[in-house]
Amino acid sequence: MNEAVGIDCESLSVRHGAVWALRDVTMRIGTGVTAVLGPNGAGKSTLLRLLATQCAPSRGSFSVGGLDPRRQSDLNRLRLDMGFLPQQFECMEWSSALRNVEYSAWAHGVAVPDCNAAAYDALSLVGLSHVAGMQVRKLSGGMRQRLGLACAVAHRPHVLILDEPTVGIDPRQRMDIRRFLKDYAAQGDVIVVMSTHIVDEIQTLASDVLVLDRGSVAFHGSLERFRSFGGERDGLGSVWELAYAAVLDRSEHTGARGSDPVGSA
Amino acid sequence: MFPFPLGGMGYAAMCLLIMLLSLLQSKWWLSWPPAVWNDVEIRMRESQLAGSLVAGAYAAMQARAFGVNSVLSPPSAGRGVARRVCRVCALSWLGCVVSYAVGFVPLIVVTAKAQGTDRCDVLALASILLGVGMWPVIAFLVGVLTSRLASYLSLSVALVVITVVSTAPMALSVNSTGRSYLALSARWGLDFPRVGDVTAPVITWARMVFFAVVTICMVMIAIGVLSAFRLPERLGTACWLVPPAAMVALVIAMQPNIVAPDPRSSAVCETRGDITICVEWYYRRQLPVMMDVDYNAYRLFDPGERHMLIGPGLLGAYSRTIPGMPQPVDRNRWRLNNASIGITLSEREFRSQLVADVAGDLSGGGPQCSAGVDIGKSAARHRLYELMRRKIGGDSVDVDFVAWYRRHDKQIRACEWTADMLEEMESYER
Repeated sequence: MNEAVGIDCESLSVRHGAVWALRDVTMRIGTGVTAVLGPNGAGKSTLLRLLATQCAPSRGSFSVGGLDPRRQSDLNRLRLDMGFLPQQFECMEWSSALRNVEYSAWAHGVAVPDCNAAAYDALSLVGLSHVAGMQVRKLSGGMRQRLGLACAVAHRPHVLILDEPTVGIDPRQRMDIRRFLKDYAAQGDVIVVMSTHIVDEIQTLASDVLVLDRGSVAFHGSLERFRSFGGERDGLGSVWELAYAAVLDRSEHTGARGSDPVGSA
Repeated sequence: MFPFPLGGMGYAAMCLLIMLLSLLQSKWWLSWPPAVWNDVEIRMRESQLAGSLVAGAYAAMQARAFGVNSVLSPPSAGRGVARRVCRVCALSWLGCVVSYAVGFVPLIVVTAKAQGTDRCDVLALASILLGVGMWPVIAFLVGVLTSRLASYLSLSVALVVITVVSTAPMALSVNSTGRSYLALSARWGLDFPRVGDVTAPVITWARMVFFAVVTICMVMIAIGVLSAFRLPERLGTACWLVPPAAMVALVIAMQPNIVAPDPRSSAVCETRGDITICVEWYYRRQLPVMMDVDYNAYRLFDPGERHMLIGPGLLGAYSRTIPGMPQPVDRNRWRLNNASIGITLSEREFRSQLVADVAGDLSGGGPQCSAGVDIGKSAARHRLYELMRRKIGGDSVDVDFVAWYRRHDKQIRACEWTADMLEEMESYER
């Protein structure tokens, strides 16, 4: 992919019954890592599932590198180049880590003769090659999370959608995952969209920040612009947490619903 | 890399387990009586639940790899949903069917050696195998529909569905054999078709078509559910339930018979003295046993009277012409032997049944001793029946008892018991 590649969203909306999970999300996500923040119920997971083509919007559309998922041929091409890690994911518990990644590689389009090599490569990337033969049920929480990442990247996608990839694991393993994502995104022409509740995480990873609030975009911009909302530190939180709180405060006061979000370029 | 969620080892384990279960349930090691092709069909049809549950469990487990929370093969994975679903369903179907069939190979070989292959109903066996392959596909769909539940719940639901769907037609049917409620059921819970009958060919074809339709429709529903984004689309996939439902409704409305007379049936007969016994060709090896018991009994207790017996496998002898059977078959002249025969019956048990049958006839099996007889005479007849069984089945001949019987045989058969007769009989009971 080149620099023109990105995810272009136009008035994306998702409705669940009477509730709008997402409303009029219009933005462009470029290459590199875009961190998605927001309180519970803001629509982060809905947005990520939408971008991962696991659900369809109620209104609006999006495209990835010019590929429109509403066209079946584009959808097939897009899915071959996309990896998704849900917040809570399932594997074959009684199979080995290698077996899981192998099958994932095949399901995501890797040819049968190449699946084994692709699986070993993916496990090496996430630092799990030493447990390739171990049953998944015996892996620790952090190892499972890295296994999920390995499954998501086994086919070396250019678009990686991750829903809280560092949740519930210890700081050391969290650092390993961040290092992996940073290296992966640095390959060029790679779009990584990841949601997180750990606001401080974004400083080592993200180049762009997207804040959702009640289904709408409260902020979308560079890391530096996001940080500028941090203001004076009062000892209660990091500059990133302050920026995050400030953005949400302004979003509440302005009542923004997708139009003219704070910080949009 | 074996493109199956559980891998090659998991697949092999599933196949091996199904094979072992069907091998054990085939009971191929039972040497007496020699298996007949009807028994093979019955065993294959009635033994499928265990193997189906194993295949269903594996299929339901693998369906979790296709759920929205899976990182292995979610709906959004690059290789198309239809292709992935068809592959896992086809491999499950194939493994289940082949393993189940292989488990019955010893029984088939034993039967072919004993009976030849001419009367093997290949169509019926094929329809059974098609039915067996249906279960893992159904379990896969259930697994897809319940993938959001905990894995043990999803698995339990799939197994319950298999059990209920395979058993419900039997439980719902209150009709006697031959009715259609069982026509599309995978299991009949019956030892049918008996020798002398075959599964009606039209029913066999209907079953094959039904099982194929159900298998394909379940696959289409699974693909539809995994591909559809919106609830209306998912609900639309339910239209694939219409073809199998329509077939079930049609069969229940038509009420076809499950079994039909076997056109290949033939009789083998033997005559010794005044005794003629005919059995179906399948049971020709039991004919000497029958002749041994019946000839010895009638020679002693009813000499000079002609006895013509219809043995196992010739239930239809009264109503149709069977090659090898002396014609005409008159109900007043030919008596139906009541000894049963089955795959788990030993020779000793068969002899015991033959003895009971003869004892029943000699102790007054005619219409004079049936309905309308007072309790006292009925009790006397029963006492004589038990006594005859002991005497006929014993190792030596009680000459006095034989003489007593011959003196009173006309009265006994007419159920005209007297006090003297009862008293005399009592002396032989001690």
